[in-house]
Amino acid sequence: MRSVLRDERILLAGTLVLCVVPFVFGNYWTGLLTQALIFAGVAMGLDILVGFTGMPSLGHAAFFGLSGYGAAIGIQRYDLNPWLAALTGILFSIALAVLFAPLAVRMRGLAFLTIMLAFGQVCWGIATRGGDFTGGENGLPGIPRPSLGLGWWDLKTTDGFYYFTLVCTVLVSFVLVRIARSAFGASLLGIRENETRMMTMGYHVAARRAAAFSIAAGAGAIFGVLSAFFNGYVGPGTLDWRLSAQFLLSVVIGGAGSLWGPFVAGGGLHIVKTYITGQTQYWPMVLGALYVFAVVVLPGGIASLITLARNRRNRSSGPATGSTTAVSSK
Amino acid sequence: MKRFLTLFLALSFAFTGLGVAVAQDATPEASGPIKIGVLNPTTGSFAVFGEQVNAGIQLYFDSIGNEVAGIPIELVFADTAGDPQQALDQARRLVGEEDVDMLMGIINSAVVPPLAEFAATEEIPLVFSVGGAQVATGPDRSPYVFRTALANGQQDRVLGWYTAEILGKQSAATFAWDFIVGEERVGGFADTFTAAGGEIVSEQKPPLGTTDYGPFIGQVDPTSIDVAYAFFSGPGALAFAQQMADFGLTPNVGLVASDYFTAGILEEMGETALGLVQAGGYTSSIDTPENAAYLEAFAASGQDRLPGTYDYEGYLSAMVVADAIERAGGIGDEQAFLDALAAADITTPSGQFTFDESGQAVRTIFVTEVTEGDGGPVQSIVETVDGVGQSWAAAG
Amino acid sequence: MSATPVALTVQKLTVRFGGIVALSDVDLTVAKGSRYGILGPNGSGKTTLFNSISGLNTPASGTIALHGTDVTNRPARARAKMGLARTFQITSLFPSLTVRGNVAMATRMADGVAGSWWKPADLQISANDDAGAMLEQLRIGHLANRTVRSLGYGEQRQLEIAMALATRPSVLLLDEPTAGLSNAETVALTELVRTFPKELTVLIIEHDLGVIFELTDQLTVLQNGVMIASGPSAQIREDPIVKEVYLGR
Ligand SMILES: Nc1ncnc2c1ncn2[C@@H]1O[C@H](COP(=O)(O)OP(=O)(O)OP(=O)(O)O)[C@@H](O)[C@H]1O
Ligand SMILES: [Mg+2]
Repeated sequence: MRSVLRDERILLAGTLVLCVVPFVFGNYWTGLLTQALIFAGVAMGLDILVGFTGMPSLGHAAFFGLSGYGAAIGIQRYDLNPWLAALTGILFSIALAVLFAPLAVRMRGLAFLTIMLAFGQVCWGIATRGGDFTGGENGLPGIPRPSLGLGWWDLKTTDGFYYFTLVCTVLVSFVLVRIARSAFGASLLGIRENETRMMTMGYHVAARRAAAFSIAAGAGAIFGVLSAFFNGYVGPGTLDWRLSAQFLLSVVIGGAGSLWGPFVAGGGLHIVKTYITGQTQYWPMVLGALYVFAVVVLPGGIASLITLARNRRNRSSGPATGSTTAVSSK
Repeated sequence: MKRFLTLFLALSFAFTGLGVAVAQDATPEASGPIKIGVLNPTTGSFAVFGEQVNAGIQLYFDSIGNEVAGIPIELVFADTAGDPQQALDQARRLVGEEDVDMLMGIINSAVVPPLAEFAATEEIPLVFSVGGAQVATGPDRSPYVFRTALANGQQDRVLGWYTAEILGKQSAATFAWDFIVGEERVGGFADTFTAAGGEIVSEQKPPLGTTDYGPFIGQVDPTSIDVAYAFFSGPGALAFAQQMADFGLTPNVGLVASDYFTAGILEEMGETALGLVQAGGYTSSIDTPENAAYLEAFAASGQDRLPGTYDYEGYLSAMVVADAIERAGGIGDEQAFLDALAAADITTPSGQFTFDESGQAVRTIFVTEVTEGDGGPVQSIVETVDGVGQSWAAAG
Repeated sequence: MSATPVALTVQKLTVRFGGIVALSDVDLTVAKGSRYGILGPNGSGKTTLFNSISGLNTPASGTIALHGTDVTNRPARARAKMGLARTFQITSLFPSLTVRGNVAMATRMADGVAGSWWKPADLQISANDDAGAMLEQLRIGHLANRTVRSLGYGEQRQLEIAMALATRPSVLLLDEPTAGLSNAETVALTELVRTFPKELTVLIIEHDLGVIFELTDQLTVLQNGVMIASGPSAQIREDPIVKEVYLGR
């Protein structure tokens, strides 16, 4: 049986490693990792919906982008305090998810994928046609970062914002991990595998699907606001289906249902994309080939590497310690 | 637990090692070349324009031996794909990793505001070679931001005035794709057209990229207008001109347009193109020694066509940047470089070039009309207006 | 009226699929603690009847009452909460989860912790190991950590029943529990059903007449969605119509 403390250890180790980044790397890498952490967090949250509940969404960027828009509009149009605006943006996005969920969770598979695509495009359309209020195609530049009111922790600096993002990422991933491992998380797996059985055992499948939908949206919303503050800008691109596709791809390449896999892939894809784009003008082909390669070679995603490694180890030490490996099977 | 600790330590060391390597890599050389980050879309729907601007920039620096004020110039190209997020990521990479001294390029309006924001917060000089979104050189403009291209509507202001004052048209319908660029360009036209006594009878906004204008043309009473303004490009421009004719609007109603009815489109239009009036910042028929030299250089670079707007705007922006580097004696003293840019006063192939106090180019605008030529329609310059800024209005 | 309380009542139940009448005016009264058999040729509507009772289809007319409460318009989950559980003719499990994970999905519901979203689920199981106990009872404890996908068919059929039992039902519907099992496995399963607590009401669909007559006290025979006989098992066995349409084959 899987160790209860394993996730906490991964979290702790990851946090410690990520803490040293600004000391070791220059501003550029710190900034790159900030954006990578943001995408990583979104992918991890999306995994609750895609990997656990089995609902692949192609409109997840909507929740990511709308919270950013909410915050920007709050600051620029209503003179809200940036923290209050951030909260407003996040709650706005989550409220939208909660309202839309009852409709969305009636769909399955491709129908769900499509309705989410449509949902995202509607949000995109509203943002592009919103005139001065949303800034249209221009989006809203000039979003000021909030202040913590601490002299030694300035969010306007690259390092300061990095650590703030890191704190948010750690908190959100901790919550996601706990949710995933709870009875509720297990029930999502059950819904993914066999909805009818869940219903006949007394589970409120629609409500749980809606909850998973809203949790994923919530994570997207939190990181959407962070991204808006980090870039000082939100635009229709943050709602674009292509960004949704990148999030979905992160979940698949990372290994749906493993949380850490999508986290690593979400951040990794961003870094790889930024790097390759700078190396060759044929980056779309290179990236595409890389995606295909990843999916073909590792159908279970990055996360399956760990399982593979563990199996190999078990196999090599199997006969000697046979009595302890009741877990392993043929 | 032991294995975990070992792993953690190993990872930390690996990261530290990498970091040191990166850090050493990034150490600036005292008197290295000037590195210019060129950010343009070379994939996606703006790729053609991006490639042309890139080539224009390259062409100019090649023509001066890739050296200014005795310092070698190194261009580092990066692809924005026309996407703001990717443009920001690449801008960060150019500044943070490639260690460029300034940025130029851009193309599509959507990328303009986030990049202007980036330049302001990162305090890195940025020259928009193309990219018209007005906000970049508006009241909140950062001192790090300049635009050598025309702001959206800048040429249309001259066109509006010309249409009313010189062509004597009185009532216009405007047709422009429904997005912010269309809005800003129609705005420029309407401003000066109405100031000169004209009236905008109808504003039609077909969706971006459409080629079916029937429903929109149909809404305009042809007897109520004597001129139509159009802002469309590519196949959309061609389709619009044809559908105007199909509806019987032309030739009774005149057609004026932003400078997107390119030579290729005019050729396809044939007869219907005759009389079309456009305004823009460049046309290959400018008759000056500077333009002759440019045309020659362009041809020598292996092109068998005449340069268009994007080819030229790339070239022009490089020319302006090089001139400022020359006068500032380099780019090491950033303030001196920015001051030199602001003080630009150059004779270019498209006339005299300066910046206004918001970093926006003040340039000559050429009004052209399509006339019958030997091998098909040709555009000849019918009016030249010097010193046009972003809020230009007719004197008097 | 009889003094024995009624666990399940079905009245004038009609179910249609487009033009097909899958069930027509079916009546059923199942006493608490009864072992009730449903018999009928293929396609006669047996599974459809179970689906109606468990809330997986929408009857055209008729009512269904569980422990005296009309549940006709209640969703499947509500009926489950009232003590109804079922197995499926076609094995219906969570293939990528472990055996324990499958059973725990049911025990967590029975224990009222299925909604907990913070406490790790595996801790809840070890603290109150209903799942483990259930597996031991069904003699599949040694399979606890195997994924369902890796199990043999017979083992999966057993798990199918374990999951239904794990919700601690008061009314249990078994849809062809012995289908596809070997003789030995069938005997073992019959034994298992015998050990069920007395107060548990069991409805069982079976084609194996040996099993049916050994286990059930009441029987209903369906043909083309119509009840053609209903009553004590011993009596049905001698019914000439039943013999002809079903037993005589
Ligand atoms: N969802 C459905 N849609 C359409 N027709 C259905 C559906 N479910 C069952 N039927 C039809 O209803 C009739 C009864 O089917 P049912 O599955 O209840 O039979 P059964 O008695 O369980 O048969 P078997 O012994 O083969 O399991 C059949 O004709 C079947 O084709
Ligand atoms: Mg059946």
